[in-house]
Amino acid sequence: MEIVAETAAPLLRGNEGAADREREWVERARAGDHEAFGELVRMHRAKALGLAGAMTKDAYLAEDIVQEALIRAFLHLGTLTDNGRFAAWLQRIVRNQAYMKLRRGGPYGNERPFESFKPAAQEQGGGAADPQSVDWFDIDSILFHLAGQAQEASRNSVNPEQCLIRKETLQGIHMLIRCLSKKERDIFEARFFGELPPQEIASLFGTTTAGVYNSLSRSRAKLQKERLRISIGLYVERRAALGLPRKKILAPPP
Amino acid sequence: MAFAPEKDWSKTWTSAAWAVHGAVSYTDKKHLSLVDVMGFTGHAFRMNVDPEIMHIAAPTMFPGGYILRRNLCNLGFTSNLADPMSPIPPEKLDKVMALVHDSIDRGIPAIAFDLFIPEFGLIYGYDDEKQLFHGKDVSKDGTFPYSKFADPKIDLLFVTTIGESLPHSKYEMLRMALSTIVDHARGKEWMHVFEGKFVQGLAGYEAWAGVMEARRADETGNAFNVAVFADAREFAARFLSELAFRWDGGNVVERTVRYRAEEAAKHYEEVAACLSELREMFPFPQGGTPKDPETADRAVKLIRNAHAAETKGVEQLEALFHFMKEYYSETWIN
Repeated sequence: MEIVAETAAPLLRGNEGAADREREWVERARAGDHEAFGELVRMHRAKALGLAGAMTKDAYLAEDIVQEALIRAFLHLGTLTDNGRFAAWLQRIVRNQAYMKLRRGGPYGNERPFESFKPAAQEQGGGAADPQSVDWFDIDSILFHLAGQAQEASRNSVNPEQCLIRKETLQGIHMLIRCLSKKERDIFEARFFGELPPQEIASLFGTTTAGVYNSLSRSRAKLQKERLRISIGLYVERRAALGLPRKKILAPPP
Repeated sequence: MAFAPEKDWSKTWTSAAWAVHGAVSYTDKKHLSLVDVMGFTGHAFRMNVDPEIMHIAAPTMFPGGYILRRNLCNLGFTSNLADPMSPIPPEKLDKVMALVHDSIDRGIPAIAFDLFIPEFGLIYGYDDEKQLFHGKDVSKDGTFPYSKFADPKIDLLFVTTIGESLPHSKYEMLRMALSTIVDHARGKEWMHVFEGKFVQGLAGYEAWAGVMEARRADETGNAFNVAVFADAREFAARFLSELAFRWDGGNVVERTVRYRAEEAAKHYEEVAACLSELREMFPFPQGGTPKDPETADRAVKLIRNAHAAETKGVEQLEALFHFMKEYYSETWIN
């Protein structure tokens, strides 16, 4: 049944064909296909923007809502049971996001998006720093690396399913980032770190969110530690998966 | 002097040589003593001087990768090197850690820098469950987390591991050692980023005397430098004496090595004696009073005496080096 539907899809250029194509994109995006999610974003972005714009009557806010919705959609892509319902699902997320923003009282409410913290932070971080040169989230390379690591781990691991899920998540996050604009990325990065456990966020970001960017250099150092921590964790896992010794202590040197 | 207690030849102030010797002692070349390692690597003959204040860090301010690779090469080993700049990218961290793990799995500790203090040390064990390395340097034998290893305080993550052990002959070993020693003494050693900041080899003595004459010597730094140099030259003299003793054959090579090494040893003993006196004047870490004019002037005399003796020593070693590249005729009738 399904096979027939898929092979027949290109022949049918109607609504049905578009739905099938979309189902295929979702399927592929869930399997970690870079292009597929980009395609989904392109397909639904305009529509989602229209919906958010109609609800908020604010083009900038609408854009923020769509960005966040896409991020949420991506992070929870795995929970979508019916591949064919991506559009409806995304719209529901957009709607929820918009309601949430509106309820908080106008643009941003109490929770300003990441970006609005930045200029102040840069001032405090020292006038000498050129804002253009402050690229302290080298998140692209982090994620690209972690995805590769996880993929390798999944090949050898005793629990390949778990590793595969991680691989897809990481690969996916990386892929998502690549089809976002600079502004979108900034917000996404906040989300990325938002996925960490609360204690780690506290130590990573200080006690309050407002204080987060008070010191860019401190953040950079902590980010480096964090990526190393993750990297070390994966390295150790990979060694275990390859069946290498867990522990070896030679006689102490003379 | 005659009543001075015999030096403990298993300890040295040159941590690089200590670490190399430590690692080598896990290989098929474990018969190499610390004296051998100090000599063949050239560490016994090093002098790396900060011409401003005799800075404490100067003795270890050399391109570590290059020097350690040459050290191991001289001893007949291939080696591996990691020295990525910090912050360390994750994919490079993996490779550096794999270098350490692999070496320990092969039964040989990895040589690293700044385990507990900024000196060379050995990583001789790992525990993946606890994410801990076991390491030892001159200050401490203990553990430290992988995360600390990954986040070095200095600006690079330095690891050298021993690769394959090659069957170098005693001739190759001596020739390579002399090449290293002479290069360093004549200031021809590659200094990389340290070029122009430090003065090496024989010229180091004059730089040191200059600091003394300018009364700019940092107490602790000067004392540390003296401690390192005096210790090194004691090893140098011992190494050369042992060389002369071991090359006991009758052919022209054995005879020449024996003669040159014996001659050089005498000069290096004199160097060591001068430095030993300086070491008593400037005990580490207090360092005495190197800025005091009278003390400084006395020191300058000893430094120049050491310089003169070492110059003669280097001439012998240079002559031996040339000989080792093209032996003289066993018999010459003309």
